[in-house]
Amino acid sequence: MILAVLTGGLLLVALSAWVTFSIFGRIKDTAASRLHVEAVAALADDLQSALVDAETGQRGFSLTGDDTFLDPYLAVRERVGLQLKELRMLTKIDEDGKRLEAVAPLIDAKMAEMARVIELRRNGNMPAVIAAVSNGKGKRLMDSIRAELKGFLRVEKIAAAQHEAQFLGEMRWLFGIIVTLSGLAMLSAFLLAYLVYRESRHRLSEQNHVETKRLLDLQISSSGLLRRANATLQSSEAKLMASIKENGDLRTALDEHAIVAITDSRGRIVYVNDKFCAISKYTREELLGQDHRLINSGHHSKEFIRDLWTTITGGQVWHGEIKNRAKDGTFYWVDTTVVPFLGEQGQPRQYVAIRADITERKSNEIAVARLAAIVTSSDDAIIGKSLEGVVTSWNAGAEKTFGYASGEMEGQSIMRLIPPDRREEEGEILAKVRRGEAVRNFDTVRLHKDGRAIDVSVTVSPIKDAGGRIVGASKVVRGIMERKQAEAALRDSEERFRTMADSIPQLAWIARADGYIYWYNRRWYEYTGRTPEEMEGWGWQCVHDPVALPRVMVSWPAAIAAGTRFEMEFPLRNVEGSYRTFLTRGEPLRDSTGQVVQWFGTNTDVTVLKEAEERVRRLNAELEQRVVERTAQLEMINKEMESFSYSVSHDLRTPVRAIDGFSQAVLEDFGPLLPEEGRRYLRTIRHSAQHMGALIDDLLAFSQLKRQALNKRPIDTHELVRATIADLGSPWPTRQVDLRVGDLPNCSGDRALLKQVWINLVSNALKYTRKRAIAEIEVGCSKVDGADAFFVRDNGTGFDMRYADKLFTVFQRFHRSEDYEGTGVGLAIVQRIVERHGGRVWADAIVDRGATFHFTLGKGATS
Amino acid sequence: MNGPDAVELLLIEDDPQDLELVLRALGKSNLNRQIHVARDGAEALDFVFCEGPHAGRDASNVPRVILLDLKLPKINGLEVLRRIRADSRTDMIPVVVLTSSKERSDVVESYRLGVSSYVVKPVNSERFSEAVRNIGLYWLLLNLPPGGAGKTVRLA
Repeated sequence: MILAVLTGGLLLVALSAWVTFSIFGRIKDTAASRLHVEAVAALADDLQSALVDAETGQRGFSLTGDDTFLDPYLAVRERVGLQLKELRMLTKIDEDGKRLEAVAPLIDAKMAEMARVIELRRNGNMPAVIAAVSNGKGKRLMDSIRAELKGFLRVEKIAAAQHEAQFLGEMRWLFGIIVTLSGLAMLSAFLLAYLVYRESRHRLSEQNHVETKRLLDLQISSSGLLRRANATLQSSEAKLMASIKENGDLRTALDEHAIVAITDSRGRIVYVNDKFCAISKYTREELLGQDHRLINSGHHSKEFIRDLWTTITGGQVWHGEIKNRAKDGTFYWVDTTVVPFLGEQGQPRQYVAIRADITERKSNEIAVARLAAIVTSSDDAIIGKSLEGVVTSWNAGAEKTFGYASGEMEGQSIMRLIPPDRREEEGEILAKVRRGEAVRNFDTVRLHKDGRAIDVSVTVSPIKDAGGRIVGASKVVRGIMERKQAEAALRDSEERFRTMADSIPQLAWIARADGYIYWYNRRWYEYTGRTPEEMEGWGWQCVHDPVALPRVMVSWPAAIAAGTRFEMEFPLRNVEGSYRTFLTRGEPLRDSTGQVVQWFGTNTDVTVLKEAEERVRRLNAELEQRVVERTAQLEMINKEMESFSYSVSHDLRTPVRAIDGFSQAVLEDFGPLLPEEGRRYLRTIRHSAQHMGALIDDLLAFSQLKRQALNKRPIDTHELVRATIADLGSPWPTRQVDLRVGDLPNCSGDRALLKQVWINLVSNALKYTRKRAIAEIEVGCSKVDGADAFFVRDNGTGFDMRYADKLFTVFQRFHRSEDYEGTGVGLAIVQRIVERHGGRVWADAIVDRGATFHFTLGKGATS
Repeated sequence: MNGPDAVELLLIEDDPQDLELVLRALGKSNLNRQIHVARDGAEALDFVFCEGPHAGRDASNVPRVILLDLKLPKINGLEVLRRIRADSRTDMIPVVVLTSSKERSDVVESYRLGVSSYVVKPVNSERFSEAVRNIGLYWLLLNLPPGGAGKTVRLA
């Protein structure tokens, strides 16, 4: 590595040496060329002055004829060819070579001319000499030669200058190379120093002194290089610092004055100054890197923002007023200049925004605009006038109130609005204004354009200029027609209310919000026999029962404090000194803000009502007691009934059974000993005993129906009827029975009880058709009043409809027991069961033609 | 086992007429041997549990069936039934209620207490004799009592 750096460094040094060498070469060349030009110029000068000398000599000779004058000429004639040749050899420029070719014949001609003049002089032909001299040919030739030589010299000098310029250019280039190489050498020296340092540390312990020494030498030489490099760096740094300081000073100046932010081409903040942070209330850390829209207030239109961006992205400076939003949500206005800094392609590289805080000015502008808007939109007439009473401004409210357009009034006297009988008012008002006083809510009358008088309330205030001098008056005029009407309406309604409150049978009162009662109706004074002075405020306490008063003094102030309805019953003493109970209600009346402004109260005499209530309560209590007693009685009766029927069930049957049993025993054991009449008696005893047994059974069944709970279930009626018929012994081999069963809807009820109904009805039908050759019995269902009604129809003996109402009464029989046996309980049982199901039973019949029994089972029991 | 005082049927009946009619009906079918009659509930329980006047009785000699009326003096029939069923010595004896009551509560309560059969005394004397005869034939001859096989009835 070190070797590589070293080699590189050496190469650089060698390169520098070569470059330096070549610079020396170039300098030598240039010096040579400069000498050459000088030599050429000297030769050319020599040639020219030789020719001038020759000519001067020739002229001297021509004038004097003295040959000594010809010496220069002769010397020139000898040299001129040689000099020309020398010049041609020296010059390396083609153009100059040609020029010398051109000069040679001219010199020859000049020499020939001089020779001819000399010859003529020698020949003494003076006129010819004079003519030859004065014809100017010699001078023309001499001028031509001089011009040619001058041109020649110029070309030579230009060539030399070009050469020198080229040399200087090369010098600069080479110097650059040297600087670059020096830089690189410096760099490699740094690198080398670093590497050596590292190497030396690494190898320090192992390296021998010689190597150390060499390295040290190397270091020393590097240090020299470094020092030189440092010196160079320091000088350039100083330059840079100077430049930076200048820049910084400019920025400080700007920062001191303005709010500055710099964003990149995409609008991201890359720099903000303190003023920016202060006004935006963000810290610098919060702002840097953020989009500038962070402080966008949303106030400006899209077009406004677009215009800004179009301008600055186009590389143009934008200027305008912007409303921004600070971190805490407040807004501020800034006068803004955005300067785009352009990159190499002319594209904006970054934008510098320089702003000034104009929030105060803006808010003033807004306040002024708002004030103007308020004045314009006000329904009140707002009029400006001078101290002389001349109208200076006239708003829309004024137009509306007085009917005059602003053009009609501005510049006119305010007197136009004032009725003749109130002219002096205006003078007083203006006098007050001049003294700096204001007139407030002064109710008066003014004239409308159409001539009618209008009720107004006027407020006039002085207007002062910036110096505090009163220059005019502002006048606010409000139409108070509505207010006056409202006041009148209020008085009217209050009057009506009091009339009404006086006419009601209740006592009534009105209290202030704090509970101070300031008005009672007439009825109150009639009842209490007191005066308004005694009653006002809290004076009502004197008509209260001292026992009940403390409770009132708690509840009423509590209602006042809470602003809630007051409701209470308490006694009030009447004019005779006796108490009656009143139900008192106090209702809070509220204004539009919900604040209680008044209380309206009534006291209703509820003494009679209370007494009636008490009576009703007492009666109810008595009734309840009676119900309890009656229920207990009924329960007892029920219990007695139960034990009665239990006893009947057990004890009544036993003797009956004994009668029948022993009669039978007599018949069996002693039958043959008895005469036929005796046996018939015993049979009668037995028959009666069995009838007694049947009666007991039926009665028990009937009485149990009342107590038995209904066990309601869905019932297949058809199946139930079939089972019933089977139980009754169908078929009846000894009789001819035509029993038809039609369509029967299913029903819901107590199966056991309903079976009893069917048994009783069908067995009745069988019984009362006993005497028919063919018994026709039909079981079916029909609709009666929209309900399903089952029926059992027979062609039996029927009955007289006159007795139909007794048909279902217990023990009621329509036939002699010799004809049709029975207890007279069957149909009573049927009726009780049907009624317990919520249905009804009825019959229709024709004597000797048959009977039909119908029954229903209540709503929804059939389906 | 079947000693001279062995009892086949315990008849508990307070009404003398009914008692006579029952015995007459049983007699007609020759089922009226080895019958012990108790006239009230207390007497019936004394007999069953060998207490009081029956203290010396062999307790292992249990009747094949007990005919029990419900409406009894002193201790009613349902209580007698309850006590018989509550004692392990007697809880398996068939007990047939023979009563005038058709009250549903009586029927339900009897079965709840574990009665073997419930028969209502018919008023009609032919049907009454028939009922008693059937009971005797069934419980004394046909039915096998829990006491075990080999126990036979000697018909008079």
